[in-house]
Amino acid sequence: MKRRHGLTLLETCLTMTLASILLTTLFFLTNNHRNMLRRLDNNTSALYMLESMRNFAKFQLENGVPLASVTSRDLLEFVECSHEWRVLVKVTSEAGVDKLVISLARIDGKTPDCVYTTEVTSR
Amino acid sequence: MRKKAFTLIELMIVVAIISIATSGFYAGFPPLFDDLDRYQTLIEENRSLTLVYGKIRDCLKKCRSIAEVKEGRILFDNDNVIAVENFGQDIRVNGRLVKLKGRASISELERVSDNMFITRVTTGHETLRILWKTGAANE
Repeated sequence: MKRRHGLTLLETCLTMTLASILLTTLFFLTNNHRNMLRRLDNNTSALYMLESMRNFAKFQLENGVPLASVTSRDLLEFVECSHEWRVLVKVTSEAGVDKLVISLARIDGKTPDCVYTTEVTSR
Repeated sequence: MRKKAFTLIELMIVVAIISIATSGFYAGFPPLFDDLDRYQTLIEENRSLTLVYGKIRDCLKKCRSIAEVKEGRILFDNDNVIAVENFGQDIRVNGRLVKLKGRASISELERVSDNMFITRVTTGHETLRILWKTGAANE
């Protein structure tokens, strides 16, 4: 009987399937890395933005503007960030001391990727 | 008699699978190779910006007021100095130099009050206006 040369269809398909699985894994690995970097980038920007927003609120306070008058629009316009960022401010008052809580998030698509928070007190 | 070659249908199936695998390869790999270089730059950019943030905050914690802002340098009441050099790519805090990597930069020092100043901070995708304040932060 003559010896068979080359691969059968089944062997070829099997090799292709294994190669596809490997490529798909690599592709998702890259995507995961990309998400991690976006998070890192957001963390750095948020670090500086929260510093600036906190100090802006203190600046307003030093100039006689109450914390309750500080709006999210003021904070966003002051730091001049991109439109992907959203800010939520909440003022609470306890024993005559006002507390402004600033929550910052970058909206990528519909949901916030990560929420960063800082607070300023009127004391 | 034993078959020696592929039939047309077998050949077409193999070609179809090769096409799918190749398109997957092109979709997945070029971004991977491009990104590896970009990733490294982005990581260094963010790391240097975080380091500078820490240095500036540490310096400001010890100061009470700004004595002078002149030619990219801020001199504080306790003789601490923050200087911006090389178009905002180098930040010198009390003589210690920190080099910002990639597109990161800190520039345009502007005094706002006795204890506050503004800088422009360029991160990977943003150019932000940052207000700094002397003294410890009560975050």
